[in-house]
Amino acid sequence: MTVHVFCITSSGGLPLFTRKKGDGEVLPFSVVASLNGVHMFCKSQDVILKSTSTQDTTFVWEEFEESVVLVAAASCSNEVILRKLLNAVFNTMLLLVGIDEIRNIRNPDRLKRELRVCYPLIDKLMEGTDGSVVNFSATTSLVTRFKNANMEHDTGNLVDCGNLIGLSETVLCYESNDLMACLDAYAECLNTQFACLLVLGRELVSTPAWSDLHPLERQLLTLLTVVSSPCTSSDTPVFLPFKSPSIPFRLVWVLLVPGVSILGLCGPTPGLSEAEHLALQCWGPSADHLRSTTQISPRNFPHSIHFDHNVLGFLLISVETGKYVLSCTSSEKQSWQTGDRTETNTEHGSPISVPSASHRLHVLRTFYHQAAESVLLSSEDLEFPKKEKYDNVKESLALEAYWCSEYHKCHGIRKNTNVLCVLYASSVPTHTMRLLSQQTLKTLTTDKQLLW
Amino acid sequence: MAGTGGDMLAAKSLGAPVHYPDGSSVSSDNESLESWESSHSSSCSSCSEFSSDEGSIEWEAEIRSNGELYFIESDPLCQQKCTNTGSTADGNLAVKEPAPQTWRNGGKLVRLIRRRESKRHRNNVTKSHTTDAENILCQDSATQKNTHLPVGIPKEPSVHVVELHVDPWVRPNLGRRATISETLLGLVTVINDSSVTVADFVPDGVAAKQSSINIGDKICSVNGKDVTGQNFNFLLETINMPTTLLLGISSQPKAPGDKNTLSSKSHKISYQTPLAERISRHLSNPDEIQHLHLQSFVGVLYLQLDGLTEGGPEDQGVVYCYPGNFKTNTLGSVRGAFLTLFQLIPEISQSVPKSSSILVNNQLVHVVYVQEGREILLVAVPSTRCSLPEAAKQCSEFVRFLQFTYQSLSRCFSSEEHSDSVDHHVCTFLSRLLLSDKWADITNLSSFRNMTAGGSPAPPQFELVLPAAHLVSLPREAQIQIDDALSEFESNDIGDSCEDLDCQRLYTILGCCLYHKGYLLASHLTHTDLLDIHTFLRQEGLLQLNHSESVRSLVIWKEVYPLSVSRGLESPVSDLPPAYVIPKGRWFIMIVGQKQDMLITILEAGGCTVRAEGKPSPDVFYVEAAQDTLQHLRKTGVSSIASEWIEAQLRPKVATPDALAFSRFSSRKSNNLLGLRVHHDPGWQSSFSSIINSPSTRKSTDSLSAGKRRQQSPDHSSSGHHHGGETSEDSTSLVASLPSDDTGFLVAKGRADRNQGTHISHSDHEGSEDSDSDWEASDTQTGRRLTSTTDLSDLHKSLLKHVEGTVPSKLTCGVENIVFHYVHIDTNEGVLLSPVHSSLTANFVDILSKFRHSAMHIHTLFQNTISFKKLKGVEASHSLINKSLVAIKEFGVLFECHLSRGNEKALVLTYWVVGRLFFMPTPREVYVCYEDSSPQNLVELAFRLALTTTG
Repeated sequence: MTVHVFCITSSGGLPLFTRKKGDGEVLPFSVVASLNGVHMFCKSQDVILKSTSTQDTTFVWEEFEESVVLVAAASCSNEVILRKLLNAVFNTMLLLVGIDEIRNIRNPDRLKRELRVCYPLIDKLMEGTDGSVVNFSATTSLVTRFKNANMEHDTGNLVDCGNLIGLSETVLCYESNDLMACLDAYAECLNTQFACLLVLGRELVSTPAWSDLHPLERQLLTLLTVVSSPCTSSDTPVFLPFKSPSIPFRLVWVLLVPGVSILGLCGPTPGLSEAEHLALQCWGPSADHLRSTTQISPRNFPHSIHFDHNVLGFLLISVETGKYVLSCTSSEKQSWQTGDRTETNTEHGSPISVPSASHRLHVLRTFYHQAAESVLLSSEDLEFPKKEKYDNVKESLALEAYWCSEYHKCHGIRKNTNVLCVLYASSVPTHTMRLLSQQTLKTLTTDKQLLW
Repeated sequence: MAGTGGDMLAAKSLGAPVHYPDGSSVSSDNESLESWESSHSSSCSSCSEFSSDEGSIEWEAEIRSNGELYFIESDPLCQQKCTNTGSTADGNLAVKEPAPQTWRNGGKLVRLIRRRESKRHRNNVTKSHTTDAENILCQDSATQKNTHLPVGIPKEPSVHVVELHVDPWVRPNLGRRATISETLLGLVTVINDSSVTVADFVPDGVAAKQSSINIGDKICSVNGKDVTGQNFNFLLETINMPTTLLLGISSQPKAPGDKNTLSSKSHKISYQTPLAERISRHLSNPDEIQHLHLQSFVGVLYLQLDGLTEGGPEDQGVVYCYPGNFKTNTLGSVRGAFLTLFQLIPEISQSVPKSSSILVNNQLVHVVYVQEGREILLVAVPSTRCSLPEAAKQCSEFVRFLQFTYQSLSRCFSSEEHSDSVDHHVCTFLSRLLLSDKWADITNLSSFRNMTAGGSPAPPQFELVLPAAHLVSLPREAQIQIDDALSEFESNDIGDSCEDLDCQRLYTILGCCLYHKGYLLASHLTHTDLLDIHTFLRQEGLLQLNHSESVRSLVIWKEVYPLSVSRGLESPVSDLPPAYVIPKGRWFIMIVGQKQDMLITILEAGGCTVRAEGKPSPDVFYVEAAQDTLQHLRKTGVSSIASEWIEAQLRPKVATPDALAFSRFSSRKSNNLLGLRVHHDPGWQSSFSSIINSPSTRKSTDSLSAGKRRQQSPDHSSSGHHHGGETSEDSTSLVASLPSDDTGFLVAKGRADRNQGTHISHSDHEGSEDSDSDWEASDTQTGRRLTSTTDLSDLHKSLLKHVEGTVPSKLTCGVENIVFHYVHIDTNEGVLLSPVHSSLTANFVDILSKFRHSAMHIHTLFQNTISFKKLKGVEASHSLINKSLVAIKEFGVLFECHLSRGNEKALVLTYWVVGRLFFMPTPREVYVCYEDSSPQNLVELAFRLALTTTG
């Protein structure tokens, strides 16, 4: 499984960067040049080359701003995912370099150097298109890493983010209301409308203005904190690709307690040290509170809510606001209660009967890409900002979809603007899944305290 | 079957070229055969037969220089019916036409008449040498002039007068159903409101003896009196003594362009519909169509991968290009990009490209690659016409077809001698891509232009593009009949017709299959050959022809390269000696059709038979044998059973959404009225009367009904029983005719329903001690009848009875039948099962297109599982397949549909589209569309579905 992304200037055919994820070879320059040349040749004949696919690999070309050409190649993927990836990669470039630099490339070598800051973020995005490999050795190591993450409350970049491109990841939490007040206070001190509290790289609470940002902007901004080198605070100039592509903001990030951080987008003032000071003032009193919120991962919803034990994980998406919750280990709630017994179960038990956490994540992500995205959602659903006020569900869309595999079952249901995909154990009868999913969706979306 | 040997001997002594050992079909005495012949000829008003001798003469002149034969003679009599039913569609089309000037009168009839005229004219010229005895007053001068007019301008019909000597006292005995026109004039006519059209001649009739009346002509006057549809029969009936009748005949002259194409061949096909003409001849105006293809971004390109040099000529490497040349063709101008990709990508991904998507004039176009050796075929299709998976399926089918007919792609495209026919095939293929299911409807260029110009995306076509033949499984008795007949035909027992010759036989029959109305009835072929043949039929348009039109006679002969003999190429040498060595030889496909039946045969020359030399043309003997087989099948009633079976679609029964919605309304009401639930499916109506009328069941009902009443309230069931026993006919008709809001109807329906319940269970109980299927019960009944009779018509009846007596099986569990549509694909056998929908409402079309769209999505997803299963252990761990997808075996999608019925409140209907993959015993896929009311187990459903093929 390999994902390649590379960027070339449209006018001169100069390579700006080449990224690779997975175990394949780095593409030699001759291949990169040929792939670009094919696109360029077609363009000269008034034909735009969009994509090419083989048995297992897909190639996608996309030109942005008539200035750069991005090419992606990946196995076990499809054109839709790769096109989203390219769009996200380009927006990453806008986020960190600004649109002016990219529109008018005066000095490609300088741009090349400037684009280096994008690499970690692009690599992170490429993980999201990973449609393959869940080998079990990696899984067990991941489980131990999970344990570590949970016990030591590491900075969060070990946690496998859901990484659905174009949507921002959140968690469901009962403490949201209390934290909201703190957040508002902090935002006021910072003299900004855009602020957001992150738990292990996922949005916990955010200001209304932050929620109004494009979902992709929100995703990129939060991912930026995840991929940044471990430190307690940072101050990065960012352009907002949709909101202000040419005027930079300062992204001020302060780590409050391990795993929990606060983000703010602000103007020239206040400085980073002042922001740190303000954060301490505003959040100091609720430090214990914050520490407890890290317990929520990887469940990502309150422990007090219980679902049927056959529910192995779920993915809840709000089409309206472009956010999602990915919960993969809800049945491991026992591990919080009974400790070691179930942990050994996960590690030594048959990986088929009880899929491991990362496997569950993977299945849910696959179900989302292969079934939910194409059947339950229309292309307009994932376009932001919404063109018109959202009407009722389009008649042509499906209401539900499910699949049954040898090892698991998945069921997706759409109600108004919410889409819920649930992963079940394979022993659940097919028609029971519908009831369970409906119950689950109702529990999650009607609880006022969860602020969904 | 007793007495088979004796029957065979008897048949031989009669000199029948093909005989059938089933006892039922072959009569043991001359009388019954003759009685059939006479009844057969007397039924001339309903079907026009011809003897096989005639057939052989008919097509001989059509054989092309390369030995191929495409002979299609349409059946004008049946065509009239088709045209009438299709007239609404034609009407709609005419409304859309911006320039309707080309056909002032509209309809296919006019065009066919126009076409006929030139033939008639030419025939006159040739016939004039042979001093016709008839007095012909032919006013041909008008036609003569017309031939000089430019193309496309409608001609005035020419009128001429024909003298006929008629004698009402000496009427030929044509049976009592013959019309006056048939008995008196010897003309089979089709009468509609304004005109009387000649559809056929009665053999040896008055009109058949002279040549100035042609099929398709209109009779406009009799003895100077104007003829309309109303007074034609009256005018003829008034003739009560022998007299000379003056018939005014109006016939439409034909454009000279058409005439040229016709006169270039020395044929005498009397009548062809536009579709038949398109199939049997090569395109009339390929340039125009090519131009349209150029505009709609379709294209076929065949390129060499090797031997390209830097400074070579501009078109180097282009072996074939359509439409236009490599410069005007978009695909041709960017071919370099595809060549580069094709060579470059394997370096990166270890697999060759399958498809590319390009944007031309803001239209997304899919380009599909097919490699053969060091050459590739590129096919471009706009995405509005078909989705990428559909395009891939279509292309692989097209390639299969080309390999079947030309052995290999390179032979197909590089050989000069094929260039015309390849152009024709490519053009047909692209037209079919552009027009999808409407391809058969195009009548002329302007309609073609309109249909391609329409920007609306083509409806999804899932089962229509799958590589599998649509099988309709008939009742077991009929299946046996077919198998018998086909086996007899395949045995190639040439019998007495060359008994004194010591000659080696010409061909071995590798296998054959039978189609009816475009559906496969039986196949005696290996599945690869069946797929080859199905592909051939679909690409040549013969499937559409077979489906929509009736032919008088169809004979097609062509050299082919079946896959089962590895396309006639040398197979790779293996170490082990093969179990069966494919003889070095040549293979031919022979298609013989009559009415809506088609018998397709693959013949082998080589091995034990005479080696084929040169370009062999069809052998009369084999064609006749096939024709006789078809006739035999029609005699035994198999064709009519197939027609009724396809129309009625009894097993398994499917529901329509509208009917279901309707029943929702009514059943709710009836439940309230009767206070109980009916426990049998609504498909009972068709079978109701026959079961009631069977005396044995009625008796048993009386004796057993008491014991069967457990769940039912006694007063209702007794009244229901009475009702059913005595006035069953009435109750069925009641049910069928009464409007929905009538409460009386609902009561009747409810009663009848319950009755049905008891009756069915009795016949069950009585007929089958050893089996729990009611189907078995009716089987034994017909079986008994068979032994007591040898009469063919009786057999037909009994077979039909069989159909009527069938209790339709229901696929779903639960009270009602809730299946709207299903597709069952057996990839091993290359057949699919699917219901045949006769009429489609708007709601249903919507549901069906959703079904096909989703099914294609599911089918594509299942390919992961299928390809993963094929991998070996080590490969599997290294393969680049998403591991979460490799074990998926079922996929379902729920949709919602708003059914509106008039001014009533729209009823919301939710329905599932579910696909399921099976590996044991053979790989199969089942896709079902059913209403979301009771949960279904797909495994059980698929089992029931597969069971229906056993008949």
